[in-house]
Amino acid sequence: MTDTTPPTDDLSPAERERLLAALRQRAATANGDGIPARGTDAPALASITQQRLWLMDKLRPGLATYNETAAWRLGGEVDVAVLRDALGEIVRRHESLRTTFADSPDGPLQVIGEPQPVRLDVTDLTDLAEDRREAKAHASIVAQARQPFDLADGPLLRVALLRLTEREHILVLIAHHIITDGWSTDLFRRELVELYAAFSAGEPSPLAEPTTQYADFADWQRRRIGEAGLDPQLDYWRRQLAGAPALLELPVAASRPDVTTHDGARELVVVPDELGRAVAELAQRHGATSFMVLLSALQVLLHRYTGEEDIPVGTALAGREHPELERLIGFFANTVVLRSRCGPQTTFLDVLAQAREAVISAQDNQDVPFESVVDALQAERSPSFNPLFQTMLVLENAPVAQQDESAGLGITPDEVDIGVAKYDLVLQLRTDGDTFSGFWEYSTDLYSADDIRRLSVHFLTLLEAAVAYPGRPIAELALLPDDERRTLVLDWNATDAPLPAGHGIHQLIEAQAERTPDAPAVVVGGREVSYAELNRRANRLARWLRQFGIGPGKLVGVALRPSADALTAILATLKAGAAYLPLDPAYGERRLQAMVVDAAPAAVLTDGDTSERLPDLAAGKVVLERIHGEVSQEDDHELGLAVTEDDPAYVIFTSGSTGRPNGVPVSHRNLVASTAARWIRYDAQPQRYLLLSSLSFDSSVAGIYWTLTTGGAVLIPPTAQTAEIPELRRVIAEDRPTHLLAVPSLYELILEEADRAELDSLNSVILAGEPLYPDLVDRHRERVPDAGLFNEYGPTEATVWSTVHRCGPTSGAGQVPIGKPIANVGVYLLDRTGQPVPIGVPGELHIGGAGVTRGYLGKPELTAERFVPNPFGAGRLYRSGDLARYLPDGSIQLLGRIDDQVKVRGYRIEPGEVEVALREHPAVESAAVGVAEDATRHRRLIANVVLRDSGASSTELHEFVQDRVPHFAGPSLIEIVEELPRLPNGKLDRAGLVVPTTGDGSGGAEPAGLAAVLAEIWRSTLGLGSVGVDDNFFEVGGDSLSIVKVYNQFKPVAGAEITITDLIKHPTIRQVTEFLGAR
Amino acid sequence: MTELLDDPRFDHVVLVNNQRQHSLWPASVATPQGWVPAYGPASRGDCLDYVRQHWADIRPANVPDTRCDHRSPGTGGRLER
Repeated sequence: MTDTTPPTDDLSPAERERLLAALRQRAATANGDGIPARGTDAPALASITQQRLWLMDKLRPGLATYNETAAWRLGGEVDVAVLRDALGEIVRRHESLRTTFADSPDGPLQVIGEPQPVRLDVTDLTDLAEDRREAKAHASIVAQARQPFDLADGPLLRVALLRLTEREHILVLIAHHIITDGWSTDLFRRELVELYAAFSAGEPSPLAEPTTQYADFADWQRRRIGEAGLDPQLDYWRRQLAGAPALLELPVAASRPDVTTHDGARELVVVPDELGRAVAELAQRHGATSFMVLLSALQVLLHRYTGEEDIPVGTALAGREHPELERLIGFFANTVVLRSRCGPQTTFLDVLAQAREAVISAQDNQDVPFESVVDALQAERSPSFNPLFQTMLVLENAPVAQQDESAGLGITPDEVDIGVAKYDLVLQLRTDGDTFSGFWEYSTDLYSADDIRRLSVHFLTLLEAAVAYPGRPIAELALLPDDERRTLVLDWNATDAPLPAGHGIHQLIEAQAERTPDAPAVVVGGREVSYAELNRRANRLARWLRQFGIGPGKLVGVALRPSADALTAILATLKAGAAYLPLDPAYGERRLQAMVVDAAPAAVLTDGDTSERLPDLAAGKVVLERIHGEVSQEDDHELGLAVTEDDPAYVIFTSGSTGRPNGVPVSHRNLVASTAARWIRYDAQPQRYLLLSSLSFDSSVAGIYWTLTTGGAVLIPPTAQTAEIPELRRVIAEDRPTHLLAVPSLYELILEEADRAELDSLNSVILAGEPLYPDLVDRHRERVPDAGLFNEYGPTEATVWSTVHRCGPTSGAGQVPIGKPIANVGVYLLDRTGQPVPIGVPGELHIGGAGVTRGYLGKPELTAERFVPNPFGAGRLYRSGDLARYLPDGSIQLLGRIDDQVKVRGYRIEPGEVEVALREHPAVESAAVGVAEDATRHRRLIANVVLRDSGASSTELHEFVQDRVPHFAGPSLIEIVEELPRLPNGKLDRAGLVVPTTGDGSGGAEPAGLAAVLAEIWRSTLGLGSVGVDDNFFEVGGDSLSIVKVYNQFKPVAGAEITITDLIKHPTIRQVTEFLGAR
Repeated sequence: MTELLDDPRFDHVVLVNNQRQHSLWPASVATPQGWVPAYGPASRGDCLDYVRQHWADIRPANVPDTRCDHRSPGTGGRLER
């Protein structure tokens, strides 16, 4: 039941005084020009509040969402005839209970029926066994409660009596919310008790006849709004809610359906007694109410879950400021929005002060119906969520026990969960002053029972911390209970494993060469180089390098395509004690030069072919062919040089968010740990590993050291750099790799082109470097069912990989998880202030442990920013800049780059997800999504799309993507381009997208045909000068009432069947005409 | 640490550990074990200036000093073949 009890009973004396003064003033006003009887029998327009429910019913007929259900246990024997008479008398007294609703051009009308006897069905369950009785009774109540009402035909009140035993009955009342509210239910119960007592004794009704009826109120309310009497209050709401977010959604929510089902469930919540008392005490100390403390805690909970600072929460007020309304049954309850701002340094007391102000001001301005507030703010309407707020808090005062009313009916209310949810999430509590209990009512479209159970624990944990430390910043208040925190921080990072101590990575390869000297170490185009041969060649080259002072602390550039020579050069550099710097010959001159200037290698090893294409670098070049004679003279035995674990093994440059590459030195300690983690994590070590990446990417590191420390062969395609698919197919077919590592987009091409038989040598396929989506996993499982598929994640700064996920059958949308931390690595998902986030809540992924590198070459400030102290253990954490969340089993799912998140009209959108949806269209080759601001600073999501040969119109793409993403994530404008804008480093430049132009610069082209007819209806209804086909109805002043008017006028001329829901789902004229055209 | 560490509205400190590694840290958050404040609270920009001036060499301090920096010239001069 919706609450209508004002949450003011626990006000401090000062607050109560202020409130009472306001009430007295209001009562005086009311007495002055109270609510007059209409003095006519003509149907009255529905109240504004009723109109909203009527409209919702029009939008979605046949739902039980607004079926208010009460189940009362009646103690003692029940005289059914007397009960029926008492019920009949209540219906006679209150016109609202006999009201139905008729459509009219001005809006819905209240049609008041004649008083009639109440139909009271009695279901006898006395024959059933006791345990079956309760179950049957509950099932019966739910079944009746879920029967929809017909607002036009009525009746809108149903009553039933369940007889459990001779002395135990349940009276079930089901009424549409449009004629009742929580206060009404309470009033109904009190009148029933009195009438039953009187009628049982053969006496007449002791109740005074009402002087006012609901229709009088509705009429008065309408006139008051029409006469601008509420303007000051409306101004308050305009100011208070200006710029509030359209949608505040908990990040644990499942993908929101375009149209809510209103299916719901409940989760019980009990505030422990001691905590309840602490809440009441805190409230009293700070001149607030318990409601305000609970509201603050709920707002902080939403803030901590979402990271948003602007937190609107709804509540219901009684809406019975006039004394004559207190004795009426009807829908008076009004919904108000309470908004607070929560920053990283805001204290709980700051939030409480805001909550207090918001509650008191809301009560001062509660005469404005919620619907008028929504209209005044032109708040976004959607069949998917409630406007202005999606989370609600209701605190009811526990009803005074009725048992002492000796004369007959002793009524104990039961909670009935009929499986509906009016909002995303409602916390509904009852209190007797200092105990609080109730339930969460949540949308099962969005949340699972587990989600809400965890949320409930977090709420109580946070509430406890808040009342204990109200002066602390809310960022520091504990959200996670100790056991959950331990699970996230410790148990899921319990990855300690022994490492080979005191070794340089090359020493592990030397040891392997001793174990398997004759096994092939490198295979290029069928030519094999054995471990012993590779080791000898590297020893010779290392000795040659040593004579030029190349040793520990030095850097050697390697400008070679992957080849046996390249692996020799790398191994020789390591053996000499130096670190290698891969310089991809395919990189542009500026990039190569920048890397060389930054890293200052002692020399650059290259070959004749490559040398010619290399620019003139600020380092000496050594062409391998030219020194071949000298090198072949060198001793080929081991050098036996010691390196320390902290000496760098290689320096790899990352792109960097600014486009300027940053060098990351990776130590032997890092690299040995990263390699050893592969031995531990993978069951099958690589016998034949297909190297698909340039040496400049650390995915090459993954394969080279894993393979060469476990005795396998590194397979190198002769033209690996270009990754030409026919060539790759040939290599796979002939060289029979057991393992490969690729970016998903390359693996997708391989799967597309290769025959199933060609791929059957594969044992393990590792994907990394790009987001992985379920469709590729499905394709892999279909084409290469016997090979394991692994999704790896890791930045260069944390040494190649940090987590891995073995892909099973996929479920759901979104990126495939990246799994759990590898050996000796800890992963922490932290909120903006460094606190671990709960399961399901996004946080920035931080990496600690053995893979964390020393930082960025020559960039101490950047290093100090990105590598931060580890509050959970030793060493530092690398801040990845990736947003991720835990799945319930501890696996991690990436959500995108933090920098890439965009917000449009209050919605948080991940452009990558929209791009993926666009790319699913067969005609789309690539797509980029970003935000553009128009002249009025209106932000829109725009897309640039590159097409394949086959064409597709932007309209077609628009529809295609709209079906695949949440409605707010569909790009408003799509431009077909030749190529996507890119930054110098090759990454997408979302800020450089081509902004599509629209017909007239505002709302699209001048309409014609049926569109012109609809535009004329818009113009006349909304009083607009001109209308464009791409104008959004709700953004140019349309509202819930005007859409009904538009609908009534448009329906006869539309030329096809159309419902009001269709109009709401297609808010532009273009969308309506295309929708009709498609039918 | 997304927001606080990147947010120039709030004060920061520079922390140092036993390997002389420097890190930026929000002034409002307690200093983690194993680190000591070296500078601040001060603006984000000032903290970064401090880091630039006091931590030119990002190598951990436990790497032996005898190791020359890779930028210093080798015995053979510029190697080119």
